[in-house]
Amino acid sequence: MPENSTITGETQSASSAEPISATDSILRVDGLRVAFGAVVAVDHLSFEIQRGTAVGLIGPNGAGKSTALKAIGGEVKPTEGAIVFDGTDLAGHPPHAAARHGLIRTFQLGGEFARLTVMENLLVAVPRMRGQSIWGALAGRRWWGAAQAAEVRRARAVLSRLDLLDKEDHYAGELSGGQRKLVEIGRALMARPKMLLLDEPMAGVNRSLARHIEDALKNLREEGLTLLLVEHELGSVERLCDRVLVMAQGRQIADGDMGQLRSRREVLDAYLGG
Amino acid sequence: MAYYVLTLCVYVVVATIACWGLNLQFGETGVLNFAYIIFVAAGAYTASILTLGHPTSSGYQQYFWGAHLPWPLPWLAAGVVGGLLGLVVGALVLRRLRGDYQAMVLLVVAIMGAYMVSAAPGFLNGGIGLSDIPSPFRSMLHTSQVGYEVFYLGLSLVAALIIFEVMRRINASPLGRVLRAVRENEAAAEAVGHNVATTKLLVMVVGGAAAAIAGAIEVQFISAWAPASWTYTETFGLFAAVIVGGRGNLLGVTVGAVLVQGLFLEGTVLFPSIGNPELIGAVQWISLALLILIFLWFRPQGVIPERRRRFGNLARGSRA
Repeated sequence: MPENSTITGETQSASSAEPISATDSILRVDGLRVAFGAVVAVDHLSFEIQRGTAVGLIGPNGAGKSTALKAIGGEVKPTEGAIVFDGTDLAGHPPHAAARHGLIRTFQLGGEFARLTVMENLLVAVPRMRGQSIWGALAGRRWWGAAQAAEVRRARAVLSRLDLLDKEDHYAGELSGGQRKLVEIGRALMARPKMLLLDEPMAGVNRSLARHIEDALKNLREEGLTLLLVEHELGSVERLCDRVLVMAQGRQIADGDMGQLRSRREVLDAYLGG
Repeated sequence: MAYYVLTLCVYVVVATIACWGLNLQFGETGVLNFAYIIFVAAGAYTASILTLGHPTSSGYQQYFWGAHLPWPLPWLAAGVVGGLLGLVVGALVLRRLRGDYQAMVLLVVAIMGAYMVSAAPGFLNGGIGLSDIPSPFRSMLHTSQVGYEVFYLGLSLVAALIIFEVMRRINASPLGRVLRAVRENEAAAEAVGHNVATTKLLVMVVGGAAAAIAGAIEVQFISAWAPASWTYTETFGLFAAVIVGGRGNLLGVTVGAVLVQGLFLEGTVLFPSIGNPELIGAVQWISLALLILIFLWFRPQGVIPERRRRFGNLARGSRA
């Protein structure tokens, strides 16, 4: 991997990374409500995330964390509320629209393309690549071959960072659960994201790979990528996140760093269990 | 014998083109288009009315409109009509429904289509269907039946080569990769920026056009077309070919079309009848169903599986 490559596998000079300002908000969720009939999964959730920070979203099972993440990513339509991402209200937009704005989501389970190789999993995410349209495809390899070669090089840089370079030709479905999660993170990076929505990236993964995923996410955060992370492994959340939001029964009950949250009675009652 | 072999060859070419279109939809993108045969029928009817000429009130067959167009315009028009039908059916079915529900609605669309054409005799001559459909250059070529069949097989192969190249380019391109991603995991494809509904609509259009051209080639060869030619069960014959050959692999699908459509379905038509005259047909379909089950259980990847794409030294300049 080139020494000066960035989080998305590009060289510094070619990077599209934007300068980070401490007060620069990238995501504002305002009064988000998601109801399925009479069941309210998310109840007037409001928060703001600054560009370049990592925020954890924790809470007991059924708190509405994953539903909130799905609503922000466009997979679930909000009943009410605004989701302003980088200046655009994405509430109710489909997931592909959110992704095209740079808001990329990973999945708790089964987010890989099982019968595509690891390299193909990454290449699929390249936005607006030559040859992805019908006319580009019919124009043939001469039209898209050079662009693909460049993206293969970028994907190899990303795989190298994730220690997956030797798995390039493996089908994603042949990998372990933890390796699949890493492939998903790599794929998200290929999409040139401004922000990642990560749904339990360490869930069901052995300790060593979980640590590897945590390190990879820590590096991404340090290089300026914004992260919103739903995770049950509180140690990882504490090490990774600048700030943590706590949800219970669809509502946000606390917001702060893990040290502060440990002393909050309502958080202890709802989740940490003393 | 030569006549039989040539006829079989044309049928196999027609089936192979149709299977390539179905492979694009089902094998590559995962769209269970159980209405696929209506696209073949749309092409066959289009080519029929564009070669039969204007209908007359005293004529023995009735259809809503007609013309005398020279080859290859009826085949091209059939492709356009098949593509437009794919656009309409796809827009109705793919945007609001997902997975199994799409498949069910498409099956219903196929059944409705055949009943609607049968029930409206003034539209495309109802259940009797259209006949005496002219074959291209037939009157200009002073040749024997076998000679004409050789010529027609050549025309069919030219069309097949063009369609194969279109399918090959899509399969090999970044678009082909997006199609396979949609097949594998629609939610994940959406999450990295691909509009799944639009992508499926695209394959409905392109696959529908291929099916319609196959129908046009077939109808100008056999000179007749009726609702009995395109019952929904015909779709399962095409699905069998794609599954047996190897979905997602153009060569595999070609082998599947030869094995299932050529040897299995068409090849047994001339068997001597034993006992009940309907026995051979019934045995054919029962065997076909068993063949699909056996492959889905024991070799779901087909005879020639989809190949693993390796990029080798591509990034360093050489071809993968």
